[in-house]
Amino acid sequence: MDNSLKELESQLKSLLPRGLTDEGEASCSALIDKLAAGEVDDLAPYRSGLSWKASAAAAAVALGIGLGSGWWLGKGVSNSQDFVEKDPVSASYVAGFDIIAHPTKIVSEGLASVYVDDAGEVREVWNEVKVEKETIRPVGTNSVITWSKKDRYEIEVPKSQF
Amino acid sequence: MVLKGQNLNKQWKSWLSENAPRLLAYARQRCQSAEEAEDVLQDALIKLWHYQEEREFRPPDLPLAFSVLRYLGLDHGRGKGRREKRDHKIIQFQQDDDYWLDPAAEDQEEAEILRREVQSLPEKLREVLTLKIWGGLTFAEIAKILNLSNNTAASRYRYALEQLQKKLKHLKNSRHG
Repeated sequence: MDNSLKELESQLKSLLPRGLTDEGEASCSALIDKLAAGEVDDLAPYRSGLSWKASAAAAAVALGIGLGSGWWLGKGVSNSQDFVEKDPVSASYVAGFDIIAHPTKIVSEGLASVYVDDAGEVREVWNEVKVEKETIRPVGTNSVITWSKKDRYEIEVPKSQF
Repeated sequence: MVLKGQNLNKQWKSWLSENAPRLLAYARQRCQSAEEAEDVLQDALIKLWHYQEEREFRPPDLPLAFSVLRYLGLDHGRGKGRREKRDHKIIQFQQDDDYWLDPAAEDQEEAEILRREVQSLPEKLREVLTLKIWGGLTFAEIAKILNLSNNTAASRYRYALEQLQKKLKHLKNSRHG
């Protein structure tokens, strides 16, 4: 490597990326404490507090599938639609449900296309659909609700051979 | 499962404090904001912690951390939409002030140009450059993370530097000419 590239390398190294924000640092520190105490088993439960499932479950209940009056939060709610609008989803919703099943499958969609990009690299692209289902039971009832969610992803990878 | 004691917490916190800037620099490539990058980093911490169970929960080696971050970053990027959308966001964050520490005043202009040009590199070149310059990894480690040969990793790095150099020369000439 010639000197000018080495000089450029040094210039680049002098650009220092920022570290964690104060909030991020506090949050990571608390997370490490929880991990060390064995309180976080895996990603999914850690994030479940505000997941789409919680939103969906809360919305479904609030939109009147017969559970109407907010019993599951111990609140009196006369109009379920109003409840959705006025109260953001919170972890307390999650506490109102037992998760019975949560299967996920990923299926390929169509055939892969192979192409050569601008840099001359052979690449392959295809679509995959992730289907996530969740079956929940509101605590203290026999009602069961099943939700499903589909996400379509475009997968693109280098292809080593035709 | 209550474990491990204060010493392990300290080790991980110290590891994180030492490596957070380089890990975040990499995570930012697939996230719209510093906050999102921090979320991805937290997710990576959880994964890494569990991976390290077999190694008595010692803080991980950097290449493993980057691999996990890459996987979660890709997933995060996909969740946000298709490639075009992500590229658009990457362009947006070029203007963010929260990505880099402020350079000394006399270097400000040059540093800004350099930052902008780095962010405008094609993704595959920028990724290698980021892992090498700010990640501090060897070409062999980069090659393993990106599933490339060592030679491809090294040549992408060199190509990235050459492209940057060419652009910077062009900018200099146009300013002086």
